[in-house]
Amino acid sequence: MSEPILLVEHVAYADHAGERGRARGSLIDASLRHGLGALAVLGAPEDGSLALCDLLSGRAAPRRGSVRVDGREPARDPSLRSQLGCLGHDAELPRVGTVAQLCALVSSAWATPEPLRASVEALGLGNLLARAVSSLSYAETRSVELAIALATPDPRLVVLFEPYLDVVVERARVEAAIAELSPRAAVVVISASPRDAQSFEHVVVLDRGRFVRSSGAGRGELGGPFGVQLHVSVERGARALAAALSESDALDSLALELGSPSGAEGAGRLRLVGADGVRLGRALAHAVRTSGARVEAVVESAPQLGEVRAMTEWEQRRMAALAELYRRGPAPFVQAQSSAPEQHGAQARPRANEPPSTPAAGAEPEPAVSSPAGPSGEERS
Amino acid sequence: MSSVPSSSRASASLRAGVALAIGPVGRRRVVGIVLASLAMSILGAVLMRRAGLSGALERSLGAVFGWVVPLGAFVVANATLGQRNLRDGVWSVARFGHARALVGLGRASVALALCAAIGALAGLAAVLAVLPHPGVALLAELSTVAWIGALVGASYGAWFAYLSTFGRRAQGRVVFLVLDFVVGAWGPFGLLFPRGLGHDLLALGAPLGLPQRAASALLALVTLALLAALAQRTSDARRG
Repeated sequence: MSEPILLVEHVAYADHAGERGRARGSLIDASLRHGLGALAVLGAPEDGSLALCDLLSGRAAPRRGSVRVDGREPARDPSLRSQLGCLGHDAELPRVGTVAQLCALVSSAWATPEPLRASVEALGLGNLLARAVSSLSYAETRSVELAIALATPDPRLVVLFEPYLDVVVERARVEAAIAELSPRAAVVVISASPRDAQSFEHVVVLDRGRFVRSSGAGRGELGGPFGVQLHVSVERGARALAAALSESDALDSLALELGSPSGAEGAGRLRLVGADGVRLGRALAHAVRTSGARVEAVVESAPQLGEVRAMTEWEQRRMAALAELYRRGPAPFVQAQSSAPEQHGAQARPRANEPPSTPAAGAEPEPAVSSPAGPSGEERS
Repeated sequence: MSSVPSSSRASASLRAGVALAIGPVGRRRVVGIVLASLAMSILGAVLMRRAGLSGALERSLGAVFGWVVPLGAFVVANATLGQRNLRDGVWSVARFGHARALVGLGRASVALALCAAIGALAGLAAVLAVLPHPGVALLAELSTVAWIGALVGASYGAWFAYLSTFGRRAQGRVVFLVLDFVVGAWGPFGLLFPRGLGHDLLALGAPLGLPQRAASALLALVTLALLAALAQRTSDARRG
């Protein structure tokens, strides 16, 4: 694991993003470490993602605990902030004339002025340079903010809040810029979208103010026991395809929505859920052949944030149960290990309910937020 | 790639604060506020003159420093310092690596300068509109009123800037405006408020009867102290 650049320790802080400055979310005893490379923090504003963004950018200091980048506090150290790129959550740029003038003002704060205009142009925003900052739309403002964040000279930390949302920059360009930054800086992407988070190797789940889980980005890891979900757009024979699929045991659930915007006969959309993606795909291919349906598109959906939360909850309960059993001793452990998934039973199917990695009897419960190659977070008690 | 020295970064932070204050206001709006203040001063002076030549200058200056300057300064402060807490208001620039306190001072300096200009110009307009009788040394009168007006205006600017660091929506400014109207020229409170010290300087019913030099020094001192306090309240070192 690389040397941590970002160190968040037992932080408590509530944002002021709600109506009349009320909090939309808060961090409660949150801890996180991150070195070089990109890390996605998956969480919604009510989980404290706005508060996290405020703290990492240096907008605010935590009420309790500490946030340090290279051992310095962003909220108290302007020279550190000049090495800290940030796309914030409230699209706030100073109204100081044109975007070109803004670029000059921003560069004046940097120890080594970079050709910021060139960076703005590189993201395809050259046409905005002559525009007044006050005339920019929300998405354009965020895009300029993003360009500035990505152009920060000698960056130590780059914090990007929903970098693919409400921007007028192509996703591929943003992804390329993040990939280019990753070997040089700690990059933290905060998003409420599991799909966006999935494009990063490491994902940390922020849940109700705490970093509760670190995982890879695969669906199985993020969405866990809820399996693979396919969305199938059918041009013709949707009902027959659904009927054919219903006989397959690769499916845990199937939903059919008949009709299409074009009003074509037999068109519809199917949502298939199964524990095993390969089996599910085979079953679909077989059903298409036998039913004679005409399929337009098949898309594997990312897990919903709710699913990720449910998985997190399930993991937490499992860990709590294991910890309890561990405390009591080995004898009841075997008995309770089989009953642990039942706590989750109402939502999960038996097959999909299998924990991703059940520790062997007597093994140390794994930490909630840790990753061998990069980010790690607090251990759950 | 050349590295920028810290002194030039500090001046860049101050300039950024100035740009932040001027940016959203715009020249037209500033000119509009100044012209409105002048118009009110002239109107007040003309009305006072109509009421009788004797004491018209004192009455019109009383109206200008009692109403036009505080209200003009309040409007200017709202325009240049923004509608929210100054510490939060400088963040849009400070986030890029500028020191919050310096940006705050740069922003406040614009408010101060404009308030001083309003004070001086409104005072001058009142004197010229009343046109005192030939026995009065007009130039001396004008210069006295101009520097007192500038000092009083700057003091209002400093108060409004400092109190912008209180309240999420900088409600401190409103509280000060009300207090200045109510107790600003009342007894010992006059020592703190620009209304009381301004009245003292202009000999308009001085609350404490301070000599002009002492009153002007006190006014300047309070203004500087407020700027220092503003820098402290917006400082990065402060837990906000």
